[in-house]
Amino acid sequence: MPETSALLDPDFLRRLERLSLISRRLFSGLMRGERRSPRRGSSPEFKDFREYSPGDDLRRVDWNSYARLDRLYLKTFVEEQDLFVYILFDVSASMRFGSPSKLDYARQLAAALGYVALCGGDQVGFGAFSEGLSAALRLRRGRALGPQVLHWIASCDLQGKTELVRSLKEYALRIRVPGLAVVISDLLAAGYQDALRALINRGCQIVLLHILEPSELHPELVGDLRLTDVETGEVREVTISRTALNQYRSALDAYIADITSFCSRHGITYVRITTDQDLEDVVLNYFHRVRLLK
Amino acid sequence: MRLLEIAALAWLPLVAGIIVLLYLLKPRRKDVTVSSVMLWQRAVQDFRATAPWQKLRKNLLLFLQLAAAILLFLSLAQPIARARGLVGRSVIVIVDVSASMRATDVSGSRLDQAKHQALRVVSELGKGDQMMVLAASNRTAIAVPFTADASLVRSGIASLTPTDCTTNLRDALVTATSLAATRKAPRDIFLVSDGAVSPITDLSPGDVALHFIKVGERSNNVGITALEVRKEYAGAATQVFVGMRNFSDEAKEFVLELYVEDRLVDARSESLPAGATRAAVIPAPPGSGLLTARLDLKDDLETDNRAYAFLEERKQVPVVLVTKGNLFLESALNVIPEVDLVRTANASEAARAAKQNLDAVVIFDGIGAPDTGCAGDHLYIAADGPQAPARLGQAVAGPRMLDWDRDHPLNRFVNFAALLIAKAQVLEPRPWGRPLAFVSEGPVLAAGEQGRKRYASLGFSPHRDSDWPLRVSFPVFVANCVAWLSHQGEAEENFRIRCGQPAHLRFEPETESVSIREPGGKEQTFPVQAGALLYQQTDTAGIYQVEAGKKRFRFVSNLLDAEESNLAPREAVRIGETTMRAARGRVLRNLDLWPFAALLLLGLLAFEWHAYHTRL
Repeated sequence: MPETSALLDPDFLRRLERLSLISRRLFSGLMRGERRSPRRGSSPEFKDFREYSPGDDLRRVDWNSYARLDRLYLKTFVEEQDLFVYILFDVSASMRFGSPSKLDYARQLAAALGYVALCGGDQVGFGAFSEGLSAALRLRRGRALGPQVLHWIASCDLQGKTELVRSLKEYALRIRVPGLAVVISDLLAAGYQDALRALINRGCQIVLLHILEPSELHPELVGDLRLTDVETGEVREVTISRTALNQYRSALDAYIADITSFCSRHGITYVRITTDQDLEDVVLNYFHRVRLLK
Repeated sequence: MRLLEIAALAWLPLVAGIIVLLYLLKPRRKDVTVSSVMLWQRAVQDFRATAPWQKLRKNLLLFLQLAAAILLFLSLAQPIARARGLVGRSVIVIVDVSASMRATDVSGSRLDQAKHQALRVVSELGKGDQMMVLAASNRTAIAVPFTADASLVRSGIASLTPTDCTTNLRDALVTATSLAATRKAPRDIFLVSDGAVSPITDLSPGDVALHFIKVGERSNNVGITALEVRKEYAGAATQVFVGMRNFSDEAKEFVLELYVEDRLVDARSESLPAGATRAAVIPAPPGSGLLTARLDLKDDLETDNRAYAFLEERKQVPVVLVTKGNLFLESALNVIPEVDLVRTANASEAARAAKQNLDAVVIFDGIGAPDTGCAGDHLYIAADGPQAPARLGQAVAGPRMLDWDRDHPLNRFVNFAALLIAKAQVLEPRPWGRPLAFVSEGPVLAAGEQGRKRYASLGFSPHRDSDWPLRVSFPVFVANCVAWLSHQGEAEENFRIRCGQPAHLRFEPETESVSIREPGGKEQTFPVQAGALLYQQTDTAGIYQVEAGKKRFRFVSNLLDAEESNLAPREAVRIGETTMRAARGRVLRNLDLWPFAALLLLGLLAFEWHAYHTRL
């Protein structure tokens, strides 16, 4: 797996195989799987009794209850189905910053989570977005497809500016079965609220991985500068002093507070990550602590 | 605060304008690509530098740089403050004690005020400062030598007494600068005076700081500037010449009184407009004695309202003319009233006549003196003799008179410039002979004294070898010769001097001591050596009474100085290229402020550097 080894370390992949994604909500799948489904099914796990209705499978009648109560009750069991996981990551031009770049980091996160889902028998779909949905990989299931998925993720490259609303709405329209939607982005664009609402409206549970590079949190810019937006090409001539830096940090804090507040209101799991954090530590420990992986 | 180089500030608007212009110009900005300007847009919208007025309003660096420019040019403009106090200095205070300082136009007298100002300088002495006090009149005296003991200086200043002398500030300043040169810098010389002095052009104070403290307020004074008792050139009458001048700003009326030995002999009303001068010529009263001229008026200076002279009986001068015939010379001698002329052609006869009258003046006109010598005082005209001040030497034809000693009494009012001489013999002065007039080949006039006898030699015959007898200067020269050789006006008794001048007193050789009573009544006894005493304590105008055994006589001391009598206080004293302006009231010195401004500038630049790098 030469391509996958460039994205994720094989040892790390092996450790990922023991993990699984945590979904706080139960989603109905299409196929039998290893995830508890809201549906009643045939798993060994007892769920409830219900009265017999004509047409029910007589094999599920609890004859012991009938003997005691002289009434027919059916035993119902938890249905275990597969989970639909949608992993969307930002490939806009703003993601090229950082060392490693935010794009690399996002691709590695997407690959790691996707590989965990594949190993867990979940249906995993991928989407790379910038000005729109620039690339999408249809739903895959099964560990065997891991190399293919990782190869595809690695092939997604930077392009264009960020159009969060358009991109995520476009992907939301493709979603047939609600599931866990993981959005990985630096969110340096307007309209993240509408974009996330589009996924919420499709019934998805959202995990928002907000990736920033350290210099975006603590910029070391000073003096008379001409700032050029890498995505829009917009130019700002500014004189950056200590006061200006303080105001930038205040603006960033306010922006993050907005995002946190929005996520809190809409049941979105918000995780902020900086690119200087060790990826393995983030996936294996940090995601475990924030109950994203188990 | 004052600025010594205010022209430096002219550059400030230009530099300040350039600084502002640089801020108005768009700065060259560093290009930086960022992931998004969204957050920067929110943060730095107030810092965007598109409107010039916003930049000027907001930019701390601009204000710091403008302040630095202001401080820079302020430093270049050499700001000074008038500050009290002297630190680590050698200070010489010259207190003027001349006659004008007796003026009473201020509380007490000008000297009292000068002392007060000098004491203020003392009060500003710092620890380690050394101070010296000089008392300046016509001569300079050290009142207090360099000392750090302020009480010593104070008592020295308090003991200063006024004189009736003229002012010689040049000597005082030369002395002060010489003394200051021996001290380490910084050095200050304070001149406390009314500035009644002529500009001193040939003195450079160097790096010594000069300060002029003016005393005196006004000029309300009429003074006697001249008093002479003159004999008329022809006739036996004597005239008293009194020169008066009104130095005040308004006309003055007063009475001029003449006393002879306290007896009023004349009084006349005088009226002098402001600034006017009057010369009164009054026939002298008969008799002899002390003549006192007095102005009866009340003004600010009393000293110059009184002057003294002596009326003397006319003394005859026996003159023995040894000549083969000289009409011009005889005529010139005959018009001198005092001369009793005896004419002879025999030198030996003249010697006998002179032996009978030892004070006789003997004129050898073309006839040499006898080898055995001759009594009396001699004038040799183209003649030689054993007592002549010069021997006759090389004969020269058509010599031109080059120069002559204008200060010698023989040459007084004599102009040799246009004199035509056909021939002359160059004189070879004896060691005691002094050449007095020169042609290109050497001296033709010489004079000298041997003991109390005087001798003069002329190298040519005026009437035979020159056109001199046709000139006005000839009878004047002859009169000068008779006066000098006969010691006229040089009485050893009853003479007069100017205040501050030493009095040469002569007594009998056996005199051992002499008692002198000053005008103030103070009497002192002085030892006499070799029959002579140089008496120097003549600072007070008035009558000095001398008593040496049985011999008693008087001499008088007068101010008679228009410069001193002019009480108008000067606002500045010019010394070399420096003009010292009067400092009224407090004694202040210039405190350079530029080091403080420069220090502040340095601090400001450091703060600006810090502000630039930290972007406050």
